[in-house]
Amino acid sequence: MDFLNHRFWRQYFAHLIHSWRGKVLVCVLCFTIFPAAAESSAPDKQNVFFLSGKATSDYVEIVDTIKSQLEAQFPSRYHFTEYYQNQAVTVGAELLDASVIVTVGTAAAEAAYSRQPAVPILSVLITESAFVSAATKYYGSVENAFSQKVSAISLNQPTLRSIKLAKLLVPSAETIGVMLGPASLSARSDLNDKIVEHELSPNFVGIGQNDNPINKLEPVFRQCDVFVPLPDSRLINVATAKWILHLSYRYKVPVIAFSKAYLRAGALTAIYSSPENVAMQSVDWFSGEEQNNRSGRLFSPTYFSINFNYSVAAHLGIMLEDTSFYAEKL
Amino acid sequence: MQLCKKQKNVQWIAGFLLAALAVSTTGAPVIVTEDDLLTDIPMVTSVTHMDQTLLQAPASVTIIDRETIQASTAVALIDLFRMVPGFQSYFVNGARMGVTYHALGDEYPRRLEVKVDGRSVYESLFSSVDWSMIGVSLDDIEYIEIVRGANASADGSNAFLASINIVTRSPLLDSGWTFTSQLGSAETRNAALTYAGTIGAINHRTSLNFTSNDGFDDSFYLGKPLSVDDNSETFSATFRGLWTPTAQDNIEFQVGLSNSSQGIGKKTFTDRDLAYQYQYLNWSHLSQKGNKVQMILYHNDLEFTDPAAPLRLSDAIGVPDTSPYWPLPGLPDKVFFDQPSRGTSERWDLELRSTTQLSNDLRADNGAAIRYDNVQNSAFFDTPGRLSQTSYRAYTNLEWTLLPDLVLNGGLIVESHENSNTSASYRVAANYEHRPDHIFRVVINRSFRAPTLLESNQRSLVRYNENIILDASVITVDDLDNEELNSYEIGYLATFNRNKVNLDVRLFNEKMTDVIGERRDNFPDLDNYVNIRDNNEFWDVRGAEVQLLYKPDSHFLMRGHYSYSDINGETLYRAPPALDIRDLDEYGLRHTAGLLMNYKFSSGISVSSMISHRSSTKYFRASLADAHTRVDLKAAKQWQVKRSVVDLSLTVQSVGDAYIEFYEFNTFGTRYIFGLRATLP
Repeated sequence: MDFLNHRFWRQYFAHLIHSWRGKVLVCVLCFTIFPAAAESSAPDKQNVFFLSGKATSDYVEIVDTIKSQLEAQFPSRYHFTEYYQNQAVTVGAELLDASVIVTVGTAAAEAAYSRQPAVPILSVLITESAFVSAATKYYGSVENAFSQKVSAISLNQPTLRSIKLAKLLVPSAETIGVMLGPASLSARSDLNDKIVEHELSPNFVGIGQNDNPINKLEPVFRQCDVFVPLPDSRLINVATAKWILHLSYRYKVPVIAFSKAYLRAGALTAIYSSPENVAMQSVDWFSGEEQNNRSGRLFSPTYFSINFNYSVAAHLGIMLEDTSFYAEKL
Repeated sequence: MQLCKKQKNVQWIAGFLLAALAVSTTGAPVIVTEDDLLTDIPMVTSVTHMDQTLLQAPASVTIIDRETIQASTAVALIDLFRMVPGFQSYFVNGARMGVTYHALGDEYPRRLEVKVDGRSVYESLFSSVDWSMIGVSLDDIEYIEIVRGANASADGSNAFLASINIVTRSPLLDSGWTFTSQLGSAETRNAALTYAGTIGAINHRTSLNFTSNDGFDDSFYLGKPLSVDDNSETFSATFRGLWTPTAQDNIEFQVGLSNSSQGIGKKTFTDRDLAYQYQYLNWSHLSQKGNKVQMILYHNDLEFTDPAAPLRLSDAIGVPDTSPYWPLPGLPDKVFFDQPSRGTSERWDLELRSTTQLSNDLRADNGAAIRYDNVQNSAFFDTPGRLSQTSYRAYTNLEWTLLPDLVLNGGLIVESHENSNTSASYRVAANYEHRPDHIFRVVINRSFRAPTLLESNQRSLVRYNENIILDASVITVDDLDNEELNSYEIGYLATFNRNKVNLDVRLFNEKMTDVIGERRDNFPDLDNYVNIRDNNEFWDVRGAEVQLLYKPDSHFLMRGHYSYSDINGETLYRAPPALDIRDLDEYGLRHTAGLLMNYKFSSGISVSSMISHRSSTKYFRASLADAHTRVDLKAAKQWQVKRSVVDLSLTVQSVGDAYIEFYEFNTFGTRYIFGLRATLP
């Protein structure tokens, strides 16, 4: 029963340490145990859980950009987990283990809110109306969601930016046409004041799904100097875009659009949140104190992108400065 | 009692539906999601009928837009196709034009679907397109989408090698009156008057067009003077109406008619009168989710009349009926072709189509259509009666975004024709975006082309009486089969420098088998032979196409292309025992290239040059044409007076040496065309 005797073990280890096998073993232990110990002794990494509703390019670009920028700014502060799903309905326990949750897209936000995790949530690539709807549905109210540390960065660029850009592009403009859909109709009075503040006269046109779009848009285009369609449901956006662009061509009225696709199809310019813009503001959120605050917030987009369609500019006879010129003034 | 129960059930169901409708239309607030903001605005529709960007499309697409048309030196519509890689366009006569892609440049080029706003203008009677009759002038065109490569899985049998969709100007794009005129060489006298306005809730664009020219100059043939009487006059009127009763629905309708008198022929010319009319209706409905349902119904009707050209048999064969060599002993001489020759071609087509977003990354375009064609011409079909066929087609095209940088497209069409076998054509494509706006595309295509009514029924016979055939020129075999194409391509599409440079490269291999041609055989008529229409050819075309668009600013535009095609083809000219297989390689066009450059000065002056090169080629059943580089120049000046715009232009086509178009006596010399365009909104 030598192995029960502590002297036996002492002699055994003394022998082992002095043998070549023992030296190798010690080295292996040094290389494996000490770093692990060092790591375990460092402050805990925050586990950032990305939940993306889709795996399409905009969604992936946002996740990748946030990750790479956070890694660059805060090396070894965060540990990342990504979860892409098309039907963002079932999310496992890993969601509840996260330190921070970043949802990308409306479906992902709804999936996260439905679990009501006790950690801060930042929702990006989500419109204001989609956020309000999801927050109300799962937390009872937006305020309740804020109190549960739910924050969101709105995808909608403020209409004021489009109005300012319109004035910069067409300084002589006196009348601005604005298309409102069912989703934006309520913003009319607020918009009216902002437009008047910028020395423009508003000419609103509301388009519902049962309206004849050409009959309603045509009189507005005949009178306005610049036109701004506000984003609405896909149906309204798609159903009106073609007619808006055709009337823009006919009456030589520039269109200030809200997406790159609109721009490609024939708008003079588009002001919108690119995936990079969304990612940059998300990184700001991580850098700031917001995520540690007790309550969440709905952030208006800080960053924006402007692009021009130079063929349209030539047709309209508009001389364009570099985009940075306009970006600085906005 | 039973009835009462049923009535109650109906009431319950009706009540439930009404309640559901009320909730869906009034209750819930409208929520805009990121999908609404990120949704694509329609870009290219011809490839799969779905709205796709060029990066998503499963084929190489050339778009000739309004700006390019205005910058170009084109006078005729087919001049625009000189800017498309792999395309060959030419004048057979002053008004008869041919456009083809990777196939024989013959008098009636086939295997290319041509549509105007989605309406096929490919005629069954000629198995071709009569470009002079489609009623579209350059000023009517908004843009042209050209799918380079088979597009049968979306457009059906005729889109065997490529398809063209000409999109005319929307009534919304213009307002008031527009007058255009062109005067110049070859007695060119073109004029068009267009009005765009509204009639009640309907926006419309109505055009009157007149074109006239005296075609090619008189020339020489085999050393003898030849009077080339290929002058033409064409009048057309078109109406395009647009009604959008709701945001979800739009209804577009078009009617048009053309009348033309054309000198046509080869060495000897005759005046052909043509009359053409069409009606077109397109109803489009968008669902709440943005899915689209479309119904397209159209009718084309073409009629031609060739004047009587009386000819005695004795004059035709150079033997009097008193001679011992008279081939019909005991039968008297006779006059033929003493009545005008009439031909008609009519088409009805009804198509139902839906574009649906099945899931976040899967879209589908499904459709079914029925087409009725009928033709009549006793010279082609050896019968005074009409021949008709009804064909059916059903198709599906799927676009699956498998990964953010990988888009898969699959398309399948099943077509059933009365006169040929049922066929299933398909296309599979993968577009891989290896970095933003740079894609590699791999496409595999298998397509079938059904014979047209002419191809499957032609019996061109000259009879002395019911029993005696004097001459048989073309007879179709009874079991004419579909043509088959197996092709694959590798494409690369890229944009550089913030979309200022667009590059499109296409490497392709197209194998066509069972190609419909004509072989020579013996026949008991006066010359003892006949052409038998049969599946007696095959083609193997390999090559590369490059297209480059450079537009650094609003002043400068450059558009260049180069195409290389290595064409190997054979035809069974005579079947055994007198086996004769002939090479078709000489009919291929190996190199084509083009370069359009345009600069617009701030003063309103615009200058353009368009250079197009073709290597030597032999037109099928026509002449050998040497390699030639054609240079066109154009200068234009624009004035704006209040809201009216006036454009004056001078176009010089084919600066320098004359060259041959199709026939050796068609010499295209330098032409000067003055143009005027005035708009009065």
